[in-house]
Amino acid sequence: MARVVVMGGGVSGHTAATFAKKWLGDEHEVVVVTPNANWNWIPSNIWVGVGQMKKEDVVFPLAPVYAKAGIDYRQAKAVSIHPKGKEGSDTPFITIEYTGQGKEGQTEEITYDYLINATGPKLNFDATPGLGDGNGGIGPNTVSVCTADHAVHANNELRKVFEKAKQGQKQKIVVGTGHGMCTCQGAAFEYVFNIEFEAQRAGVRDNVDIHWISNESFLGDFGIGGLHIKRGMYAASSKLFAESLYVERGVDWTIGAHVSKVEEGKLHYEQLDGTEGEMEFDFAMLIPPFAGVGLKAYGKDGSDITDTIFAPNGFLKVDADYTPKPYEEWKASDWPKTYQNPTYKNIFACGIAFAPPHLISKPMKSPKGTPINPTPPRTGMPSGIIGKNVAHSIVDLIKEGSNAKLHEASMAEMGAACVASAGKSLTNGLAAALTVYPVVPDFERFPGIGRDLDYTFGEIGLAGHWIKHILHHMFIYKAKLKPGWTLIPE
Amino acid sequence: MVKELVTYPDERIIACTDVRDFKDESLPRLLQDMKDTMEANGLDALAAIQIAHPFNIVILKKDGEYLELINPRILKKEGMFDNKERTAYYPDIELTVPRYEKISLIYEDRNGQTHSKKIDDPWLSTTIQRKIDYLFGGTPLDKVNKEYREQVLEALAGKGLIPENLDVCPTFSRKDYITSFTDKILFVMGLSLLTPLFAKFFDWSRETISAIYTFDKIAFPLVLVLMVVYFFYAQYEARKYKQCSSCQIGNQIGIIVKRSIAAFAFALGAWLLVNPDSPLF
Repeated sequence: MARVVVMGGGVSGHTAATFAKKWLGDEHEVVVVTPNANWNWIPSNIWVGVGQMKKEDVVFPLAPVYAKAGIDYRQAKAVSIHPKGKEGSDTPFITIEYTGQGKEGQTEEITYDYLINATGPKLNFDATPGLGDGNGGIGPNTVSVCTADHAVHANNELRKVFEKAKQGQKQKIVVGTGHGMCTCQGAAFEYVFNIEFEAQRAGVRDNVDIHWISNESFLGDFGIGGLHIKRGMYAASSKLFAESLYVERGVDWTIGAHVSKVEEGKLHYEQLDGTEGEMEFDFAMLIPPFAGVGLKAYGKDGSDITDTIFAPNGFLKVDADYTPKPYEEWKASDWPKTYQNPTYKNIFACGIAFAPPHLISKPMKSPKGTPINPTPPRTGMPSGIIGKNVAHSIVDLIKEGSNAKLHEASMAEMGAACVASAGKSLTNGLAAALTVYPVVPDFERFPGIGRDLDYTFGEIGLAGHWIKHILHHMFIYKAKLKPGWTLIPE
Repeated sequence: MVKELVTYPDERIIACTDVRDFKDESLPRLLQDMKDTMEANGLDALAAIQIAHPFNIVILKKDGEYLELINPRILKKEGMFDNKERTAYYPDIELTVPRYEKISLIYEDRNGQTHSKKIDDPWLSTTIQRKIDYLFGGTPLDKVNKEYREQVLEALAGKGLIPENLDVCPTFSRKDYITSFTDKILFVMGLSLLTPLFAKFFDWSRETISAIYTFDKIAFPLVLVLMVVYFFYAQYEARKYKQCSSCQIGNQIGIIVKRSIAAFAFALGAWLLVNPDSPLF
């Protein structure tokens, strides 16, 4: 009997664990280690953040789902990896520290035959002074929609702002990225337009000034260098689409900005041209930068081998080409295909936990040398697809032996669909539906723009909102492993 | 070398990408071609795409000096106003476009070095904004409201400048005839529900009521058939338009579901209220 241990139970880890268990059956063991008691459909957090959904609508308890699937669930956080075992034993293992199940604080060793790192990111609020609380959590100056609890808090604060606006007080809302190296511009984009929509619905729009701040060098970059939408035989950029939407909805913007410090009601930023500025606010939702969760790795003798397994940013090294190269030499083939660790072949990563070889957007720095550019998104559809492929590879390795061919899911060969909400309403809601192929531009296969325009397109409309809403229910249904769950795509 | 200018309605204007390789030998050649074309046409500014090279490059000429802006990005903007401007892409047309008086931008030179520039001169500022419109898949007309855009396009059409293939959403498509006809049938079906009322006041015969119910019995399946036809025709028509909100399959399904539900409700109402053999009577 082989044991597959999955660290992390988010979109990617949950997908990997559930498919691995389905394909392996009861002959083999699948263990999920996640510090969370609930699974969270993160894309819908933005609706919790504007009060259009409750926390209960976007989360569900993991324990009964894993019990039904026959998955060994440990509510614990992974602390360290020991890929060569320890003195007296060659069996690799991880150490965990329980956060629930009545064992809070207890540590344990779990041996594995195959390990999947799907820990997701550490929300690195402390990277920006004043954005965090100094202990890794969110600080008191801003809100976030990165977790369901954060989103509930964000909505509570937003309602206070709307209440003041109702009383005739002018309010300033700032939404965007809280650091020069953030990703997830898409989530902030959705949130700013949902706030704008809610402000209209609440009848307070005239008293609310809404401002976007981000590290993108142009509106519509979204961390993937923007996308081009086919128009006739040619391509229109997402910049045009985004600018039109911002102007139409009265949202002003500051771009190419690294938020360097946050205080109560005020943020400081540096822009790509080297200038510095301040912005006052009554409410700010700033996405934090992501980092690895800080897992350590140790050799058999107890020596620290973290650098062997993890990149400096804390994400797991996989089969990518990490050789430093100038922007013009970046290639699609730099991106990983199998997500297997090159040193320890029984360790894989999926979702945000794998270390990307480089950015997707054009790398940029301010004259002071501050990097200000979006980092590559590895969320949503790609993370689910990668999780499923990693599970497939491990299942084949277990069933067919170490010569089994690994399954590939390179982001440079993978398309992705994204539905970005810009207002939640059954009759006049709005969402932008975008598909992009490939996620990472391949300038060799598609000279010039780097993407296949036949599969890269976008539309905005009410139908997009309906699709977004349907997807919410579909993915939660799938994650609950209800009948036919495997038929629903990632 | 002087190159031919891309002018409306040539749609090659909307295909641009950043310059990635500054070591490419064709870059200095392209920059020179742009300058030659500017001289030959008496232009003060030109985007590379205006001579059909799909790269994010703008060249400006002020006081006899050329300024090369490669991969420019506008970071700051201040003081919006309506600017009257002309551009070589739309020949002999003056446009009124919202622009900013002052901007700050970053750009790269031909060696890939990044620079920043604050522009206070309104002419320079608006010219750069106009050229940057071309770099990101658009034209200055994308910055104006729909009514004004249509006026300008009509004026251009008056000069014989008409796009060969309007590849965007039509304001009225043939599939709308099907929905319009369906809506009329539904309206009459809805109206037929008042039959018991009229029958009472005007003492209609059973035959008259039966005739009205026959209409309902035909109208209900007819609406469903029309919706099936609508779906397939809309799919066929959508292929003609690459950028078309009303062509989204979700919108089409919405239209079909809405009308099918209405038809079902009216048919049920007719069975209960118009049907001479209704279980209610």
